[in-house]
Order: sequence, then structure tokens, then C-alpha cells
Amino acid sequence: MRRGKEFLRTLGIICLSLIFAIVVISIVSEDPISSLKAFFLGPFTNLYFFGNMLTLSIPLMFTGLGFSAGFVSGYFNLGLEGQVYFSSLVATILGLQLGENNPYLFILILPVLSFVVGGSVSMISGMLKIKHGISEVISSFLIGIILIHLANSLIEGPLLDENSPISATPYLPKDLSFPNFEAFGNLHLGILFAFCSILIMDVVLRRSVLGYEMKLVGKNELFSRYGGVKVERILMISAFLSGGFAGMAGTVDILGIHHRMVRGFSYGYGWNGIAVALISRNRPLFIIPASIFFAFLEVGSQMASIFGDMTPELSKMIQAVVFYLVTAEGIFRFFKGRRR
Amino acid sequence: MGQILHMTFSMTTPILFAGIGGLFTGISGYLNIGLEGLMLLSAFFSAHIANVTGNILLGTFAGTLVSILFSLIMVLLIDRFGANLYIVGLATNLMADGLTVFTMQVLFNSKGTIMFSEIPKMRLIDPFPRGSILEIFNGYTIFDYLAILITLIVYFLLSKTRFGYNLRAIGKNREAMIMLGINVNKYIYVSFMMSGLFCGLAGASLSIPLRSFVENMTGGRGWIALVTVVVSNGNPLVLLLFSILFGFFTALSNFIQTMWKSSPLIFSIPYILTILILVAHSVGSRGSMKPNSKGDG
Amino acid sequence: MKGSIFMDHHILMKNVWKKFGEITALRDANLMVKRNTIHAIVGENSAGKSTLVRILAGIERMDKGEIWISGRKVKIRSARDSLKLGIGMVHQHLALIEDFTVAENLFAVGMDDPLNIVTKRRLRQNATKIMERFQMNLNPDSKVSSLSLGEKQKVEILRVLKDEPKIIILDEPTSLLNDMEAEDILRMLKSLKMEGKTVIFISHRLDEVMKVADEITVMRNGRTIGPFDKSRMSEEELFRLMFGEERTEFEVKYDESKTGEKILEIKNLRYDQKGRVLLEDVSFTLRRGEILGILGFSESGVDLFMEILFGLRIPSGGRIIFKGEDITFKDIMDRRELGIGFVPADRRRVGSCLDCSIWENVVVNVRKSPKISGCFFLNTNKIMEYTTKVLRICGIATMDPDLPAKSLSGGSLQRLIIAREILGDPDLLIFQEPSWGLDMLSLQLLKDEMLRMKNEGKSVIVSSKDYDEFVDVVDRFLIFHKGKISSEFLNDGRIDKARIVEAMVGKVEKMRG
Repeated sequence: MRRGKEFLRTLGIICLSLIFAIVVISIVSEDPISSLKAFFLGPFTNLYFFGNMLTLSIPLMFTGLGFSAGFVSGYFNLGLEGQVYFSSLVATILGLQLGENNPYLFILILPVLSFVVGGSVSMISGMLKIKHGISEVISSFLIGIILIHLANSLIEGPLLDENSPISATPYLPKDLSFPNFEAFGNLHLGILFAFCSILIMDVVLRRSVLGYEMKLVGKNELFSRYGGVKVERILMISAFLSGGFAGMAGTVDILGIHHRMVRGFSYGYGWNGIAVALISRNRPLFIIPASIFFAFLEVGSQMASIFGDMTPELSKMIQAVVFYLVTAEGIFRFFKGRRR
Repeated sequence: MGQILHMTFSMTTPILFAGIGGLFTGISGYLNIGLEGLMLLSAFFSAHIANVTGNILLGTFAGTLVSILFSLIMVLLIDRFGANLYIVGLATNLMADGLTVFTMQVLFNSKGTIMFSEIPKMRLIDPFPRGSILEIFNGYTIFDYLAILITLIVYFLLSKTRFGYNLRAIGKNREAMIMLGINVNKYIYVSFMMSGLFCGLAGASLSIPLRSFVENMTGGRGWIALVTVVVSNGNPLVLLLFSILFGFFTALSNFIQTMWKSSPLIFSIPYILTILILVAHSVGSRGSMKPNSKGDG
Repeated sequence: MKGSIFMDHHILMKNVWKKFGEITALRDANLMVKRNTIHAIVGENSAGKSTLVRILAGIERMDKGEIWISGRKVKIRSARDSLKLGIGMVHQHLALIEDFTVAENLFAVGMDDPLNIVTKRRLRQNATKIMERFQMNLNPDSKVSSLSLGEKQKVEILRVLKDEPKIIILDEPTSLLNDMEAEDILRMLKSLKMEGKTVIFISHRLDEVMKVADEITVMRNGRTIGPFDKSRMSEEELFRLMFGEERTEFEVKYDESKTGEKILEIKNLRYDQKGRVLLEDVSFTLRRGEILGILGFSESGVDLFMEILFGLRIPSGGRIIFKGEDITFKDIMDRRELGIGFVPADRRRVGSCLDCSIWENVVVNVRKSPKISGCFFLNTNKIMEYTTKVLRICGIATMDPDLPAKSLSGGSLQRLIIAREILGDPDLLIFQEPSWGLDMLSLQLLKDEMLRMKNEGKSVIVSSKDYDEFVDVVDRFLIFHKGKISSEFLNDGRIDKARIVEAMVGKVEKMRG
């Protein structure tokens, strides 16, 4: 019964944000009708666009899961961007060096590897928090930036593909890539990885002792400690899972679409992931529709800019509205007339 | 070399302004993640209005007003609606990013660099007499001198007025201040609006001298300012020092980029430094600028 | 003669009611303070003393009632209102900023006129002036964090005095101080009265009250009794009013034989915080099948001791041996697994998770046992079965286990927490203030449970501030005073309650017997 109310609230937020979009488009566009049509219907007009939308949602599922995994225990991982970027670089390096001989094996190894890399990086911030009381908000963010610069220096330096017009690594071996669903645009097998990860997390959170402890720490740390939960251990696990899932986001994208690491390819995955996580209210299964929703916003805005006269930045504004609404718990109570 | 020095101080100004803005909320116990967004909003709107009116002052005023508006939204959501400090900050950044480019597109039909040619060129001032030692500090814009001046004023404000004492006390022991009858809420609102005010100046000082605006013009300076806030532990002079340090690195990287291709690793040095300082500081004493518990960090 | 009551008294609080959620803190309380007197308010903890004066100081707001100052009805809605009326309050938990100096705390913090400029010199001057006036010797430039507790208390008092209030309220001004420092404070109270001020002070140190007070109001369970003219009262009468009728005989319901072996040994336990010794020399032994009652006022160290025993804090010295194992540094999970359960005083923040569902609250201490889970996963069926069982025991079988715990009534939540800990089947169950929030029937059921545990050879430690509640089940009493065990009493059916209270208040030195 409780969950029903939360679901309605989330639905309400989505509706409000879409209303916001409609209002903005109507006011600003010179031809609101076609812009609106492009925005709402564009992504569904053909299989190609639809598939693209789903493809775009894949990394968001990972980063959304990542942020959720931390947030559920009260751990705020703001280093997602860096974890995504750096982990995918490590995976790319390994793929380039060793993937030639065993491409099919490495299709499995690389995502797992990036999970470990991302998770380990995140655990550094976790350790700083536990041992020294340094807020993970700052430390994860700082480490993330450092890693992005580090990765960029490698991409532009020793790993640079001389033949490429843009800053990128050489292409991975041809077989070291996810199979595509040809009809669906760029949609690739990575989506199955995402679904699996989500299912695993859902089971863990809902039905395992670990999940129970993670949620407990997030809701009342003092009570968890009193109940015998090893709070520090839980925070470290959360940090690890958080960075781990984020780490997979970029690698999956590379294996599925880009087949090499392009400088700046994943910018925004981390931040959007936070939006996805917030809307999903820490329930992994909701991450699937949530990431598709945000991918829809992204694609819809692009359509509206191609076929209408809008700009893709519209999606960012809508996202911001979602953020505002999601975190302002009291807003709905306010509108219902009850004061806090 | 002199060129780098000169660029350093120009680069420092926006970071310094934003840092001062972050200092106010930081001292009262709230880590304002939205500095980047507040600065970006002002960068656009102050340049735009300055262009439309041909008046730098009006432009700065307008841009600052927008920043203050958004900082007010932040504190309202946190205070009245139980919003999470960090998420509201992220929302502000996101909104700033989207809104500025969106408006750019709507007004100018362009997503590249907008040249605001109607903005008067900023004059470089020589406040110090020639021949004196201070001569090397000549030749900057009024924004630059204002930033330093304001830093000193804020230092004075925080350490030598009742307002400053109360604000600091709120961050250290909020309960006690409530017991003493201080209107803590008022102070919090004021500190957020100060964030807006100074981030507004930060944005204006970024775009107006360049008489242009480009997408994501702030380029992470707001985050750098946040870092200086955390590291300074409430001391405006230390904040100044770190702002200059970061300004130096920004100038250095710009300089190097025009000369020869270099490793982006240079960018990361100040961040590495910051982490080391944070760790050293926390190992020494217990806790530096701790985010307010409302932030759930 | 309505007119004269209002004129006679400097302060008049009439028919004051205050509730905090489900708990009624003040029931029709009245306070009548004559001008230029020292008026003491005494009573047990949670009798409502602090709440009453906090309303006067503007930090709390009453639900119902009237306040009259100097014959005029007033509304006190904030601390500022109170200050304007000339009321100053010295808080029990000092409202000082540790990082700032004495002078800064006195003259820079918490004051109006935000743009007033503060210089170190002026601060020092003002501070020195004020300290001379009130005869206190402190270094104005030293940080508050470096001061002793007595000195901090003095700074806090000074902070109030400098505004020259006409009415001064002090909440437990001496409870943290040693005898010499307390004497200083009492002397100061007397001189304040001589200067024409009206003084209200809260204390549980009856000897001090008898020394300086002119009139005394007694509070018990939110009600006020009095005021009484001190010169016509004796300490014994005060005891009686505060703690109820003396009981020297009662029906002994339990089995006296204590043949159980040792289950718990506490050796020289010690706890320091910021240079202060809060617990010292705490040693005793507990046997299986024994019910131990620990009594002590706040700041006597009882709560700290319980927290250390359970593992929420780490002691600075000493040892805790449970079932032959040294558990001094073991974490809470280990202690629970060894068989220790704990019902904390703060039920809502520590003992439960209000935002979590009921079942999440219920299974926390058994989550890894085969009753609830297997291997890595929770067993939903077993959880629901177990939770329903617990709910039935608490008399709320109809509650949906998925509802959040905050939807439970206060009493139900208490029962739930207690049931949860008991069902964890511990060998040692520790209770902090167990009767708080329980109705008579539930309290009786709880006592029956304790006796059942005793018969099964399990042990119980109960801490309370009210002796009466558990006298019929406790085998032995330990009295804590100022961080040490001051007395021990066997409950042999002939206990003199007055002596117990004396020990709690510190009159008796190291009496064992």
C-alpha cells in the first residue's frame, strides 16, 4: 500500500515534468505543434529511433544502478563520471593488448574487470570517509576529476590513434564487441548485461540479509549499529557496488557501439545516472523504465531540434525540474493541504 | 612569465568570487554544490543584459539577481520542503546548463560562441602609482580588484562582526544558537543569498570582460571554488591563497596549450593537492568543513 | 482575591500543559515565585522541571496555560520575548561554543546588532569588567574547550548575568561540579538575591536546595506541588514529596536463592571524555538468574555504563568479562551473538527505525539466525511468521507488518522493542528505563517476563531513576553517584527507601550492605 503511494508520486513527478516540457515548447517554439509531435512521438516513429533510444538508456541503467547502490545506504557517490571513464579506459587497454586472441572470452572479462576497477576506485573514498571522516561527496568528486584527466592524458598520449581525426584510441579487435540487433538501430547485447545487473541488485536488496542491512544503514545508522550491523563494512560494500556498476557503464557502451574509446564519450552518464536513481526511489527494477524515460527525454529533445525548432538542451531543463521535484518531499503534501 | 602571472590573477577572480559565495553557506554548515550553476546563470544573463543595455553595471546587476533567485529556490526547498542539499545543488547546475544554452538558442539561434559586441570594453585600471613596488599589480579590470577587496571585507565581516561570529557559531553548534535566541533560519537564508550574490559576481566577471558567452563557460570553476571552500576550513585568506593556486594552474594550462601539446595531467595537480591536504588535515584534527547532516552525506 | 496573587508574585505560571507527542510532560503545572527570592524546583528526572522553565525562557511553547510577570499577563513565544521581559536562563547543557574564547562567547556570540564591530581588545575589556563585577577569575582569552567544567559553568552563568536580567533561571547549575565549585555557585546565587534579583533554580541536590532556597516547588510526573516555605520543611518531607510514600515492607515475590554461577564480571571500568572522568572504579559481579537494579540520577554515569556494557561505547579502562570471555572491545554483533540484549532509553532513535517497516524493526537482532534466514537470503515466510508472533505478544496482531514503524502508537512501539529483545533469547538482558512509555498492565507483564527469565537462569540488568518501579523483582541494587558505585543494597525485604535516595544523591559514602 505504501509502495502504491510512492509510485503515484513518481508518476506525478514525471507528469509534471512533461507538462513543463509542453509549456516551454508551446511558448518558445514558432511551430509548437510539430515540435511537440517531434518530441513526444519522434522516438517512436520508426524502429531505428526507438532502438537508439533504448541503446542510450543502457549506460544510464548502469550509472543509475551505481548511484542507487550507494544511495540506499546513505552513501553519496559523486565520482560516477570518473569511475565510468577510467574503468572503460582500463578495459580498453586490456582489450587492445590481449583481446586479439580470445575475443569472446574478453567480452565477458572486460565488463567484469571494469566493475572491479570502478568499485576499487570508489572504495578509496569509502575508506577516507570511514577512517578520516572525509565526506565522500568531495573525495569521490575529486578523485573522479583526477581520473578523467589521467585517462585523457593517456588517450591523447601513448594510446592515441594517429589515423583518427578525433582523439580516440585505436579500434578494438573486431570480434571483441557485442552482437547487434540490426533492426533496432544500435541496440546491442549490453542491454542484457544491464538487465542482469538490475535483477541481481533487485534480488539482493529485496531478499538478502545484505540488502536488508544496506537499507537499514541508509534509513537509520544508529539503529543499525545498535542492531549489530557492521556499519563500516556496509558502507564499504555500498561504495564498491556503486563504483562497480558505474564502471561497467562505459565499457558496455564501447563494446556495443563505439568499439574504441573516444575522448569524452561518456560525459553526462554519471550525472544522468543520478537522475535515474532518484526517480527509481532505490528500487532497481524501476531503473529500467526510469533510464528509458531519460533516454526518451534525450532523444525527444534531439528530435524536437531536428524536426522542430527546439534545442536539445530542453532535456536538461526537464531533468532539472525532475530533480527539484523528487527531492522536495514536502511539495506534494503542501499541495494536498497538509503542512509538514 | 609575466604573462602567466598576469593571467593568473584574471583567472583567479571568478574562482575567488564563487569561493567566497560558497564560504558563507559552508561556514553555517551547508556545502553548496550548486556554485557552478549559479555562476553559469549569471555569466550568461549578465553578459546578455550588458549587451542589450550597453551598460556593464546593469548587466552585472541583472546576472547577479538571477543567481540570487536560484539560490533562494535552493534554500526554500531545503528549509520548507525537506529537500536534500546535494540534490538541490545538482539540480541547480543542471538547470543552469540547460537554461543558458536553451535561451542562447532561442534568442540568437546559435549554439556556439555568442559575441556580445555592445558590451563596452573593460578598462584596465592602474590604481597604484607608477614607480612604486605595487606597480606590478596594475593593469587589471575592476572585477579583479573588487574580488580582492571583497575578500578582505568578508574576512573582516566574518572575524570581527557579530554577524560573522553568529554565522560561525551556527555552523559549530546550532543547538546552542537556538537556545540563545538567535534566528538561525534568517542567517541560513542570508548565507544562501550571499552564495547567489557572489556567484553572480563570479559569472559576470567571467563573461563580461570577454564580451562573449559560450556553452559551459564556467568549465568546472564552480567545482574548483567548492574545493577551495572545503580546504580553507572557513578562513577567507586561505581561500584566497587556494584560489590563486587554482588560478595559476588554469593560466598555466591555458598557456601551455597554446604553446605546445601537453598532458592533461597537469590539470589534475591542484586536485591531487587538495585531496592530500584534506587527508592531512583530517588526520591531524578531527573533521574540517563537515557538510550539514541534512545533506545526507 | 485574584488581584493580590498576581501582584504578590514576580512570576506566575498557571495551569500549564505540555505534551511531546504521546508523552504528557506537564499536567496542570503551576509555579508561583515571589519577588527577590531564591525559588528551587526539585523532582526526579523527567518530572517536567526543565520543560517548565524552558517555557518561561521561551525555548518551548506550552499547549495551554498562562504566564504572568509582575502582575501582567504575557505571551512568551520565543527566547527573544523572554529576554525582553528580563528573563535570563542558564542551560543545563551549556550553550557555549567550544572553539571560541571566553570573551568571544560572552560578548560576540548570540547577540543582536549584527553589524556591530568586535575587536579583541574591546572583548577583553568587557569580559574583564564583567568578571570583576561578579568576582570570577578566568582568562578571557582562553578557549572554552580548555576550561574545566566548573569554569565553563561559570562562563555560562556570566553570559546570562551580563545582560542584567531581573529574573535568572538556572537548570541544574551544580550537577556537573565538584563540591568546591558548587559552593561557589551557591554563594553566587545568594549574592544575586542580595542584588535584588529573583532566582529560580532546578536541582536534585536536596542538601544544596535546603541551604539556599527560600521556597521550594516539588514536581512529580508533570505535576507541581507547593510552593513550600523552606524553613518549615525537612529533607525527609522533601524526599517523601519527591519520591512518594516510603515503603519499608513489601511482599517478597521471588526466589532468593542465588546459586547461579558468575555470568558477568565488571573490573575497574573507567570512561574518560575530553579529560573528564565520567566513570571510575566500577566493579561488580553478576550471577545467572540474578536481577540487578542500577539506580542513579542523570550524570551519575548509569547511562554511560549501560552503553559501554552493550558496546555502544568503548571504555577507557577496565574489563568486561561475559561468560568467561573478555568482551571489552568486541563489537555489538559479537555481544548479541554471545547472548546480550539491550533495550535502550532512546527508543525512537536508537531502539527503532521509524521509517522502516515493522518487520524490519522486529527481525534486526535475529536476522542471521535460522529462524529468519538461510545462508544469504531472508526467508519471507519465516519473517512474517515471526513478526506476527511478536505483534500478537504485543497485543497488536492486526497490524500490517509492512507498515512503517512510525504508524505504531508510542506504547505499542515500546512493547515491540521490548518483545523483540526478549525473543532474541539473551542470557543477559539490559534495560534502560524500561517503564518509560509503558502502561501499568504492560509493566506488569514485563516484570513477569523478567521473573520468567530469572527462573530459566537468565540475568537482567535494569536501570531506572525511579526506585519504586522494580523493587518487587530486583534482587540487588547498585547505586551510582558521580561516576562511581556509591552503595549496594540487597533486596531482602527490609529496604529503607530514604537510604537509597540518600545514596543516589550522594549523602552516603561507600556504604556496602
